Amino acid sequence: MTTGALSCEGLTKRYGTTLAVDRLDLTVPAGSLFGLVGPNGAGKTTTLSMTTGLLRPDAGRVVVAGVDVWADLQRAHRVLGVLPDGLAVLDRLSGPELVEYTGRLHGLPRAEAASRAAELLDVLDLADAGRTLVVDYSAGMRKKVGLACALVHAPRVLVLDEPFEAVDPVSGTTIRALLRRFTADGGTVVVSSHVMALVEQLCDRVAVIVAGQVVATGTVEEVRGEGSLEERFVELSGGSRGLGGGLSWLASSSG
Amino acid sequence: MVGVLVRLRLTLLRNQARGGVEKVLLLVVSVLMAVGTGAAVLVGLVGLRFVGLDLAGAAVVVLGAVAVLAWSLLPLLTSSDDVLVDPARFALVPLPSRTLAAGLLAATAVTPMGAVTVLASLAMAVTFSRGPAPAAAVAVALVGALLGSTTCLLASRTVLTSAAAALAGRRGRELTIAVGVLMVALLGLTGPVLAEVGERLRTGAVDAFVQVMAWSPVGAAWSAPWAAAEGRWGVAGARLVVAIATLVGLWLLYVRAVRGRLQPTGSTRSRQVRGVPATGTAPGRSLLPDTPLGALTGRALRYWVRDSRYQVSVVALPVVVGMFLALPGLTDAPRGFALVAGPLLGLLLGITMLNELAFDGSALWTHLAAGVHGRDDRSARVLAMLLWGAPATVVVAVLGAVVGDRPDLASAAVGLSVGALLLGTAVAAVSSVVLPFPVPPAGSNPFAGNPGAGAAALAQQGLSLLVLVPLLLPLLGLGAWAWYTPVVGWLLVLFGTVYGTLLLAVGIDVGGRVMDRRGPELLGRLSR
Repeated sequence: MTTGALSCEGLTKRYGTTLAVDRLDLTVPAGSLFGLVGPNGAGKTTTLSMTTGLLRPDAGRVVVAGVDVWADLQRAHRVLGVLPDGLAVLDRLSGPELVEYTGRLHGLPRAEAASRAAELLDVLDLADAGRTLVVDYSAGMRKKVGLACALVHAPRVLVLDEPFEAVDPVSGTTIRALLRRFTADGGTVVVSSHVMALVEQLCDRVAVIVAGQVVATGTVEEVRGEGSLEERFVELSGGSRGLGGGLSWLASSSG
Repeated sequence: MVGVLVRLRLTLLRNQARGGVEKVLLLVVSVLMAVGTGAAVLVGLVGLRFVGLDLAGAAVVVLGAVAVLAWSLLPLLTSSDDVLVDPARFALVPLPSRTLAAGLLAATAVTPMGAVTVLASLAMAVTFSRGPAPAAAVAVALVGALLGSTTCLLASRTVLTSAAAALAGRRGRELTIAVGVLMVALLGLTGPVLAEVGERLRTGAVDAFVQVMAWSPVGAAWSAPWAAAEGRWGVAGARLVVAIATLVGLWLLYVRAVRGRLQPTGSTRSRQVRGVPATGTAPGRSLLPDTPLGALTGRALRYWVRDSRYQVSVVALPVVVGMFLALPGLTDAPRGFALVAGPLLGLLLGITMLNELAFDGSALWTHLAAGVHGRDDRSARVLAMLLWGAPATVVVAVLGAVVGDRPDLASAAVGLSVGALLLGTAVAAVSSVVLPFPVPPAGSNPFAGNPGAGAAALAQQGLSLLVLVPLLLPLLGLGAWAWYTPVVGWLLVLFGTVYGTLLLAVGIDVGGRVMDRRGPELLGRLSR
């Protein structure tokens, strides 16, 4: 097995009787912009939580930038930048305070953390939010400030869970540019998303997760084959169930 | 539509009765409270039949006015989870606001407390079945009871609905929480106040006050039968008119408030942080070291000011402590009572910290993902509290000794208070990582509790106290000695500080190790 910037071997997580992630293997080459896609409940968030040291796996190994995550959490956290989905943030801080705080926790001096925070928030168009507390931010603004927190300590591998959710198209474009720049400078990015068109356009490589396992991985062209990524994805996820003959009464409203 | 909403209320009650143990318990408690209150009112109203008419009349007016005020204000604190309150929930149902208002009002009457209020107030007919024309007085009493109890229900809906827009915002909710905590803290004073009012009622000193109440919107419905029993029919009729006018006025206000809630709201106001420059370099903060520990401490300090759950303590503790300091002056409690204030504050501050980590909830990931050392996390939270908590405790301890007329015990009080503060904090440094339990997020009603956390909370607080109390014994022993030999107090200062600091260091070390080892598991527990 080739070792990439991020690799998982036999990653397994069980919640009660449900097997959320089932002996999952995944390799993300260094410098790639990697998309992780899968239907609801496929185990994307669970996988990403385990690769970022926030959820202890039942079995398996995660190596990030040469560091065995679960053997040396401290070092792993230094090379990882994380944006989790569905976890709270310390939202009684303002945006600049939160980003500066995160930077200082990573060991940056106060002045350096503050100037990086200001720069990141400026790029992400959050400078105007100024002294507004994060609790009063919109969902999209929270994603952006979370991204700033993930970047502030200059990690080598970024792991972003649903970074484009609720983000407006303008900010989305900025974020995409930012991520491309990050990989161009030698960093590696892993994003999960539901939006196939976005993954197709942004990522150079993808993995499709279904029922806790990787069912397809490779470059976007390899995975999608003839059709679009969306068609391939639906096919891999067990196909569309269609509508059958039901819901005919819906038509009456138009007549 | 009114019927539909009443049926919905009954369905909700039935579902609650079928729910888990905690839901059923809640229902049983609320029914018992309602029935208890109702029974007390019933007995009181029947009993008042056998005392002088003037006393009975005055008592009913005051009781009725209190009921209207209680109905208007108390639901602001408690019924936040009742789906049959906020008209905005029905915004998508095409209904005239008048119909919806009537339905929601009727649904209120079908709560345990609502039904009891209506039924128990009818017993007023017994109280006033006397005078020149008892039958007519009874009729007036029945009408007055219906008007009065409807005023209660309608006033509560009107206040809640008018406040709903404000309450929906985070600031509004947090303000209510602070006011609520203050009210609960002040509840201890209601007993003496009520006794005082009763005394004045008997001696006729509040005659003028009762007369005003009798004609006021909150008292008119309850005072009409009094006048009827005296045979003053004109006055009785006039008071009924006031009561009806009150109801009509409230109804118009209520319908307007309902209509307002049904319209889409404008943009939500956001809050700017006051006093903190955008760069986050306030003068005081630069005193903290430029390390992760300094950053953690600064953050924890900010949360004491900005998070409603910390504010609850910040608001409630001075009230409790102030009561102990003021009690000997206000009542005939022994003056030594004030001595308790310092040690109590130390102990309470420590106890506040028992579950402090859980306040972060799943946001704890920020610390994990930044590789924060457990020891730094533990120390920072303790430091942020002690920085202001320790001086406050010392000041209160000295104040208590002075007010308690035992200035010679000041040193002992300080030693005991500081010792209690440090020991409580030491236990908390461990308990909050070993046995944390999830708490409601900031901005939610702190009285609502978190379903399922009850047992965990009990286990944590119980075990912590079980550890804390034996640890306190040496301090208490020295304290008892100092009571008779005040000079021992200085020994207590030394011992309390050293012993407390040592144990705090142990607590931070143990808690920090646990956190380093079980960080992800902690996050899992707090994310639920």
